[in-house]
Amino acid sequence: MFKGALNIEPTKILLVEDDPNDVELVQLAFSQHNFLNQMDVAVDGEQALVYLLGRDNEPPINPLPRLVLLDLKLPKVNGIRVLETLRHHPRTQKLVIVVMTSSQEDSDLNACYDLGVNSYIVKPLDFQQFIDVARQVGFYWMLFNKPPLLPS
Amino acid sequence: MDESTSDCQKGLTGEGNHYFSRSPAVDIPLAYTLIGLLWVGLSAWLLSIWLPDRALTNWHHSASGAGLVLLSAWFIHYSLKQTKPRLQPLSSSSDGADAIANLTAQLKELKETQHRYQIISELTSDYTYSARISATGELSVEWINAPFGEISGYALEEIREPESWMQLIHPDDLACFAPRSRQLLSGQVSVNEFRIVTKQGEVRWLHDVAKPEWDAAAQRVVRIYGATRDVTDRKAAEASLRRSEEFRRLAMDVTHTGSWDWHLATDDEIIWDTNHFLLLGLEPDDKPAYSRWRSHVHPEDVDRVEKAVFEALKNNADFKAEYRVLHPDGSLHWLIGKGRGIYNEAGEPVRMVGVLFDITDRKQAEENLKRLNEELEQRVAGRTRELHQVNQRLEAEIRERQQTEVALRQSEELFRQIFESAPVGMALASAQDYQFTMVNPAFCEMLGYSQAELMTSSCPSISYPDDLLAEQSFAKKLLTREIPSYQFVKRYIRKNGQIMWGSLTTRSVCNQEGEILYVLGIVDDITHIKQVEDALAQRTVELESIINNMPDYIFVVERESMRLTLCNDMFACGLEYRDRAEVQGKTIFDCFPPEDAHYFLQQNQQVFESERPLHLQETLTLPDGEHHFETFKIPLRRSDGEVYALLGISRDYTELIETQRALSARTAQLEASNRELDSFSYSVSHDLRAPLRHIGGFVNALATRLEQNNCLNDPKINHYLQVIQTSSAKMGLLIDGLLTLSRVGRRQMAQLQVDLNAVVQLVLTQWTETNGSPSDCRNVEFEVGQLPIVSGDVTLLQQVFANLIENAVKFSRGRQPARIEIGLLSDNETIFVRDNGVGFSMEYADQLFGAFQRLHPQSEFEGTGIGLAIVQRIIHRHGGMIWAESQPDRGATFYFNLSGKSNLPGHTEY
Repeated sequence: MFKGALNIEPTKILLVEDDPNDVELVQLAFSQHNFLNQMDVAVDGEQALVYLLGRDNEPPINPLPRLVLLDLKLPKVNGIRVLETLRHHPRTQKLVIVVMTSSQEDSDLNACYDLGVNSYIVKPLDFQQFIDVARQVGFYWMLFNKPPLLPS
Repeated sequence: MDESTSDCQKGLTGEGNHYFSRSPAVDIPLAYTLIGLLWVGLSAWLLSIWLPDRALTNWHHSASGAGLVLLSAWFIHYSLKQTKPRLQPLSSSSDGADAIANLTAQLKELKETQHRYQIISELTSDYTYSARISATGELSVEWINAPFGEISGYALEEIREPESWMQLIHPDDLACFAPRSRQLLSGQVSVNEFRIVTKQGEVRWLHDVAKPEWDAAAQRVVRIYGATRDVTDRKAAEASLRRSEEFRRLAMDVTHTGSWDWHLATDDEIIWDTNHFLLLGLEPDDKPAYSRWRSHVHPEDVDRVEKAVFEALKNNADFKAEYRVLHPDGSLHWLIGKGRGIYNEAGEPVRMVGVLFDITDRKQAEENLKRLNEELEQRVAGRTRELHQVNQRLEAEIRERQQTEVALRQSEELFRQIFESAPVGMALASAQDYQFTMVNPAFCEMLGYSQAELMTSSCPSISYPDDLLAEQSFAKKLLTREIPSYQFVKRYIRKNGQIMWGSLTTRSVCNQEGEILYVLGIVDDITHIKQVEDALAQRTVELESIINNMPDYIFVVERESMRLTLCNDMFACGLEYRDRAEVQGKTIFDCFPPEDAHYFLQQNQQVFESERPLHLQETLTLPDGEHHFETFKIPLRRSDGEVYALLGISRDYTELIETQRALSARTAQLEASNRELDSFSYSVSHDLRAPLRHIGGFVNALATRLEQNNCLNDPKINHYLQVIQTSSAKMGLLIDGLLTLSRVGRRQMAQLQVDLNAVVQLVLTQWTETNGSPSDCRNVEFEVGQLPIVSGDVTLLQQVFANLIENAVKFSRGRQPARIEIGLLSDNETIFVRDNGVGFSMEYADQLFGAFQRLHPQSEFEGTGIGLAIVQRIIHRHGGMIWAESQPDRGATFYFNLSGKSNLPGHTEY
């Protein structure tokens, strides 16, 4: 069931995270649940936007992922801007985006929800908690949540 | 004599010629004519004798009589002389035969005729005579009739010698005889009147007509015939007439009477006498005219006078009119004209004669009299009026006196009553020594003396000595009558030695002679008023001092004149005046530039019209630069409510503005710093947490890996990993605490009504959920009192209670039971959280709320030392205070309120 669930199209997760340690930790957490082969990584905001929206009128190469895990503190284009751009683009307007960040700032929280983020998760310091959260997020959004109808 | 003679000659000569000129035309028989004429002459002469007293008639008849006499004399002479020539034609015309026969009869007839004529001549003339003139011209009377002798007393013989008759002639009349002789000798008839002196010495007037007779050759006058009539009576009558005429003239001259005679139908057929001319102011001339008279009559009178003339003529009445004439010299004269019409047979007026008098004097006299009368009447009337007034005055005076007497009695009684019962002090003192002669009860009472005591003392003795000198100058003037009274505020000394301020009004009291006997003084005790005045003056000084020392600009502007009636020195200095005295009294227009003055005028008018205070903030440019003012303009009202001025208070908050600006700058800086701090906190939260998480995560991954590779058997490795994990966890807690503290400080605060009871309940529920089954089986008792509803941020307040309760539970660990009390003090605003835990020494109380400050070792009580710092920050953000009291091992109580007041003395806020 778990495996079959992963085949459901689209099965991909896009992780937008500049810190390789965090990428590794997320991968570590997901690896225990076979999410790893469905995950692409963008290391800055710009990469994320190119991945999802394409570059200079060129359509994006990749199909849209099932889930975007978005860090806020990103080089080039920060997470809030990325979220804003995606939400204003018809292609990504209804894309499932979960912000996963170290920031507990009210301003960030409010800004993200105002921009229609699907979920906001503060990365727990404790590794075990982090693993749990990652797993829960993966399960929830990848398996239980019925995604919106996205334009092809 | 000469004049009268020449007059006579003239008149008679004229008449004579007249008759001579007519005689040739007579064709009736001569005899009949002669007889008729003789009869007329005779009758006239007789008439003149019979009516000698009627002058006018006499005159006419004498004239005609004289003519007739002359005629008779001539006729006798002529008939005698012409007898022959006349007979000749008769005889020649008669038949020749009868002529001789009739000659004798004719002679006889002639004799008879001669005789008849002699008789007639004797009848008609007084004397007749003939005289012969010699060749040498000597005249000798040859015949004279008998009556001459009777009258003159001389016989013919006595005067027959040539020229002897001359002795009869009145010496004054001899002169007329030479011309008479010349006339006669030249063959002319000579008519003369002269006087003779009779033998008896009587003077008689003779009228003599002499006719010369030529000789046959008509070479020489040889004889004269004369007829002489005694005209003594006529002369007398003439003299009388002349005298009468002179008298009339004289009378008219004297009375200034003019006369006139006017032929009505004409203008210039009018006769004026000299006086008439003079009365019109004219020189007598021969040009009288009605129009001339009319032109001199005063224009206002002309019509009236003419009307009177015509009325009189119409009614056959006498004319009389008084009128004014204007003389050529411009003078005005009053005349009275009187006249009477003369009418023809048809009864129509043809002439009018009259007289004219000057009545100017009379008129003036009348005018004067009239004026005098009027004056007199006026004076009499005036005098009467005066008398009447005097009378009335006298009567009034009498009445008044009677009333006065009554009034005086009443007034005396009244005075006494007033004196006795007056609420003010009254005293009568002698003008000489100021000894009291009367004092009223009020005066005694106010000074504390008895009446008897005062009656033996004098005014100066109860006066304050310092005031006496000043009063003396007034008193002196009063006694010298320079002033009738004076008012003086002075001090009296009461019997008990106290000073009494009195307002004294004095008046001198005189007797009827005007001698000042007493001085009446009325004294009002104004001690209280004086005290109030003094207090008021002192208060005024204080207020002025306050006003003047206020840092604000204070001023009063009068409504009508926009005049600054009051201001303080601050105001004056602001306008660069030396002090307020220089400003007070000036108008706003004097003090400010026109634009500013106009601006203030509008403000002031707004206040005066709305009658409401004006509050405004304004920026004004004063001499030393731009100033910001907060100004209040408050209407000032009189007691009747009328707004008469405004009170202005301007606070110069220029410095405040500058401070605010500085503060704003500082605030901006602080905000920038805060933003930096925010940014820093953000960095910390994110950047520090990330490596920490990595440490934790990878240590965990390491441990898993080591376990999978069976490398955890070494207890040291296990321990090291444990330390790394614990330390990173602790560092995470520290960072989280620090971030919370930072977030609390920056968090946007909601200000809502918060029910603290609900807040505490929620916190306790959460606490129980978290610590519901504590491993150490702690027994914790919570006692929660009634808490208030406050205004604040519910999330932050939850944090407060959560931290305090957590603290209390933590530090009461080991107490069985741990008691935690939450409640409200009696001031209804101070909330406390009390535990029975380990407490702390107040010595270290100042460290309680510092971040990371701990009073207990980590080994005893876990924690980061950030909890109370967060609580304090939240309380401060609510404007409140927090403090604590404790003793070691006696528990601790944390107090806080949200009002910022510390109601518990001795407790310092931390």
